[in-house]
Amino acid sequence: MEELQCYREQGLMLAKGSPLSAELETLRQENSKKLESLSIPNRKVEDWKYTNLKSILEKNYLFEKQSDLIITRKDDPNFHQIYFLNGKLQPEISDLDGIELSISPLVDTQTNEVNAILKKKNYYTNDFATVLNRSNMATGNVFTVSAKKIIEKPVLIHHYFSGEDSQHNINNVYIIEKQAEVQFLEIITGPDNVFINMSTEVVVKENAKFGQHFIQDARYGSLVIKQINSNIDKNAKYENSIFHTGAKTSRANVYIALNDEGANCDVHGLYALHRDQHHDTMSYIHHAAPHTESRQLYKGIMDDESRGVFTGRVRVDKDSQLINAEQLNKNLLLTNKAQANSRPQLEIYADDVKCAHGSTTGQLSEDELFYFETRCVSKEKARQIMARAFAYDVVLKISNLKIRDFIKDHLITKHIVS
Amino acid sequence: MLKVNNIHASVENKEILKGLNLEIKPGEVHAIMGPNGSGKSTLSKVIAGHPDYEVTSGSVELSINGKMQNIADLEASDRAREGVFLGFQYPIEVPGVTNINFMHESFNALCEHQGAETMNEEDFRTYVKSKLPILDMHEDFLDRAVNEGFSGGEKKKNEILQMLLLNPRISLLDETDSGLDIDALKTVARGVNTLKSKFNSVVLVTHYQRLLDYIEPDFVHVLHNGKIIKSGDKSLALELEEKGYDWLIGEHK
Repeated sequence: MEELQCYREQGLMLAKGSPLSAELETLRQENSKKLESLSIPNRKVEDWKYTNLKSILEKNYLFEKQSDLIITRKDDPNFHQIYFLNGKLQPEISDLDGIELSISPLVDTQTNEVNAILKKKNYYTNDFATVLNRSNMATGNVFTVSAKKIIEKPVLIHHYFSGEDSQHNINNVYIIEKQAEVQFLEIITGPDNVFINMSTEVVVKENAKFGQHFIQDARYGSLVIKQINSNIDKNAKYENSIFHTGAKTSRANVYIALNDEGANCDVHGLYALHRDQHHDTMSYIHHAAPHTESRQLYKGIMDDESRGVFTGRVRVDKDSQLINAEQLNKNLLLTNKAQANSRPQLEIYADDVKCAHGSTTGQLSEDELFYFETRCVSKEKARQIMARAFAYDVVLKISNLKIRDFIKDHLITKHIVS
Repeated sequence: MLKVNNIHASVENKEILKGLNLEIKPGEVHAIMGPNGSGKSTLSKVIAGHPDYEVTSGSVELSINGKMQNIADLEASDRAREGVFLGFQYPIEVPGVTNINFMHESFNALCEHQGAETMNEEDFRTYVKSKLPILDMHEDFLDRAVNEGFSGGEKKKNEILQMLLLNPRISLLDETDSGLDIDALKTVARGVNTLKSKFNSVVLVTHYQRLLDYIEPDFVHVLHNGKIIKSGDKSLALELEEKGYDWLIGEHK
């Protein structure tokens, strides 16, 4: 479609300079063609019903080729730290020694396995964000943890983005080999207003454990689309959470496939919004095998005139008996102008399963506030305490205590809680 | 200590208190009795400053720094800091906030107001633990979410625990006895009696005379249709227990 021409052309230009293999170049071209027939998400696209990107993308975000941003490393003994700027590894300030984690640019790592991961179809294959991403596929990195390697210290990954009004399509691939264990905390941040479309392809192999948590804290004028596509193998465990505090408009497309018996996932999220921020999470958990488990807790705290949207689909295939799926979405509206939309969607084709889902939206009750007040606590302070309790509920789902503390501190810094 | 002068109060434009007078001096225990809907709970909420209750005329005066002052414009939290405590008929559950944190916030807010040093978590826990035996409470209570999953009796004990920690000058206990078995009632009464001194006053809002066997009132007031229709000493409560309210209401008409 005409309106996306600018985004297509840039993809073509970029691809000319980047050595994609024939296989990925074909995939890129297919998607570039698909982009032609797609319209920018708006209320007529069911999965984007509440989030209209038209006026935002009319802005024509441009690619930033060079960036002169200088990142200052902040030491933190609790983490191995890795820094990226606009998708490019910054080795001078990253802890790359003594960690059994391999990181290499996507263009240099076009193995059969990586190509297959990027080509694998899932629920979002024809979604705007995926198509745009695949048609601009040059930037990204492949993270691999070899079989049986256990990385004790959690890894803190900083994804910096710079260049006012620039756009960044990032394709990151994570391969956690059999029986490996690692915990990541990834922060999306930067000094400028940008458009970030970041896809995260994850494979957690047999009996491996992968914790992957995100803080989305892009500059307040930004647009961020975060995609998670994870495939979980036999007896493997995947833990994921995303804390959205930044950007003016943000979207998360989450897809988790539990592909073999014993695969299980904990997938959580918090969106804490103020001013006119808008967030939209679309989650799709696919129970593709029997004896698989998923647990989801998504919470929204909406202040001022902000809006939070949650759509959570759980699909249970016909042969996926004896699975356990839990999903809960809770929204707290701090003002009368704040809004929440919540759509739980269950698609169950098996007959012997346990599926629980629920959704609540409410304000802090006058009675609760009065109770605090009769105990000497001011109304303002009472609000803060209750908002903190509401938000920490999600933080407490994270099993790694260092990541938990880091996120708590972030929420305090952002005045989400105090 | 506290003086309620010809007060009229409404909730959602419905007048509940219709010219009520009450004076409470330091060290006194008052019992407010009356049939359902007479305005008993409203009275305690109006004194504590519930935002839904509007005082349309009259005044509530509290002695602050030795002077009687109208507190009608004070926020509920400011009244609490000046020593007004409301024990809830139905204590509120606060999921996600632990009991110890809740009480700690509360205690430190009071310390700050009084210009006293705040207490750190560890010292505060020690202080709270010293009060638990009075109420037969186990330490486990401190780390559970405020009132969440507490039984009726546990909730009421928790209210009295908070009262003991804040050491209020005037405690309004709204039907603290309702729904309690006799052992829990005795425990709650022991808590209240621990606090009682010549400086502190207690107002017991209750349906039942039984509580007054354990906390002896100096005055008993009967509330009906938003006014006090009779006051007396503790023998009035016994008379009410025997004869009900109808004879008084009839007399009043």
